[in-house]
Amino acid sequence: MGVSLSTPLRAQEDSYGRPEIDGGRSSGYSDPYVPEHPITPLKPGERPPKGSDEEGLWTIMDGVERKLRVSGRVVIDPALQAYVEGIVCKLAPEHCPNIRVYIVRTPHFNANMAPNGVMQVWSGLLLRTQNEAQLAYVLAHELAHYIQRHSLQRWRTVRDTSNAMAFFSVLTAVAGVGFVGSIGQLVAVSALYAYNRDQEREADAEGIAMMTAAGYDPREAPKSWSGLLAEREEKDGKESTVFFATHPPTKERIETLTAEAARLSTGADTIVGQKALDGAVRPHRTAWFEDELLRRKPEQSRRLLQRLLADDGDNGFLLYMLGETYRMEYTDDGNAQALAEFERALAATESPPETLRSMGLIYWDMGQEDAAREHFRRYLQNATEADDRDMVKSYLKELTQ
Amino acid sequence: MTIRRVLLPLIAVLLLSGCLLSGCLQVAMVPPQTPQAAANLYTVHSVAAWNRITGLGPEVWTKDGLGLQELRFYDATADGSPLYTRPDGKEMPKFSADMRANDVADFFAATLLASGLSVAETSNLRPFRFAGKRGFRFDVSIVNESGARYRGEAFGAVINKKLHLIVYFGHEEHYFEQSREDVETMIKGLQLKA
Repeated sequence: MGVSLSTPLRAQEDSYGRPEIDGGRSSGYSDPYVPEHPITPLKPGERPPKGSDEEGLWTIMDGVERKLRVSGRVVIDPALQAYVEGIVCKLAPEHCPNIRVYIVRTPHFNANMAPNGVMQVWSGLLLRTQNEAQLAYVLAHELAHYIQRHSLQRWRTVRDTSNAMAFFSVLTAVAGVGFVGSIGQLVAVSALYAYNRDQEREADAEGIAMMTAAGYDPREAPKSWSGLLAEREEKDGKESTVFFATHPPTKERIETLTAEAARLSTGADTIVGQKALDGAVRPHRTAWFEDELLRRKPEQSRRLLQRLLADDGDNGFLLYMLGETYRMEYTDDGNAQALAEFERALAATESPPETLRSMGLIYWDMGQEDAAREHFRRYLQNATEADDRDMVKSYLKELTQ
Repeated sequence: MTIRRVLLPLIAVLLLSGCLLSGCLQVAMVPPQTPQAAANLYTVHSVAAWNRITGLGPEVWTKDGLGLQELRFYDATADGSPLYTRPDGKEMPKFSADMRANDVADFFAATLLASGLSVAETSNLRPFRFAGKRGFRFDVSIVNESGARYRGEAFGAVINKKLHLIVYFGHEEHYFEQSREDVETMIKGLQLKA
């Protein structure tokens, strides 16, 4: 994979009409005769010095970007894209033309910003932030890392000091060695984003200042971290998420942010934007929650749903999903809890017809065949376009035998 | 069908898994028109020749090479077990004997996603006679980490509280359709070994 960094980088236009790097494949090593340049805040449109270690880092991240584009995970939704890009441009208008936003369908709380201007916003983050202000804070935090060139500092530290394995893992991830899946690659690349405590403090402080300057309510900032911390504390949340590993949301950070929010809060009209975020995410909500349930972390998913239901307690869709977190436990207690949530969902608005199918499956499991039949019939009456109708009809046939 | 095309990606897998030195893998030709045992669970008849690869988890049959098209015969999965175990010990979703067909389709998608695929979706779940038993089939859509798109079909049943699952998938550009009819015929004539 090693190609000299003296290979000229060819500027092309990406799909958004902005310049894209399509240089040679780089090993990430810099020209040893080019001295390391000091790390100063990134100026709008600034590019790394030719032959520098930073140029090597950018080239590696260009490789990550190419892989991301073909990964099948990038969400194509012009309205959502414009919405998220609009927030980024509101937060950092001078850097906006040099940032490429990718909305990535992956059910984990994560956003990151590569030094070459690639910002990833994962669907799990969009599900977990309750309003535009919370999302704006997370994006501002990542923008602060980008503008302060924290990843270059991290890169130099990793390269020059003890953590050779992390350095190697970034290289192999980019090269696509072996059968590393996308998540694996992204986790490996995230070694680059494991910032130190001072960098996190700096990004917290700049992030909250940036969101406040853009007109958002700073009191929403600490809520982004506290929700993540709550999920982490669940029994099945011990396995570290990518974002948690790289941005540990400690209680101390939440307290500091809360104090800073109180200081910055002016009481004037500020943006919270719950409806705006909800409207942008809504077309994807069903698919993304299905992704969330496929993680098979029912306690974490439950915590997330309960948090969302605290704001929207009469939402049948969220109640159905909550019921599913219990049903996937396949226990008597789980089934009982699931039925209770499904009943609440049916009494609420927006409950999907799948609620009836899930109830039928539970009643069947409990040996209550009349109730099972009734719910399967109601499912077939309501889900006229469902692609599993023949299967459910076969359940009914089996139940009548 | 060329053995070389099958073997090249295999060597990469084996070097990574440390399997090459220990000799845990076997590749054999499956001749056409002859009853064949698969995964020590089934008897199948194929109209075409395949390569059989064992020692990498589920028994895999392929004509043109791993990653082009694969017919995977998973071992019968007991209650509380994953569909397969990963060499790195990563926790995988567990099968429950209480699962119905809808749940199995979700369980399979969760397994694929946990294995690192970018996209794994199931659709078109419908009833299917699997080895003479009441079973199901569903379509599978997969995108791997390189962006390659695959189509697939899964066939299965829960028999004596164990999940029996056979999955065929192939690159959607060509290889999926190429062997689809052969697989369909094979699965429809599938018998459980005595």
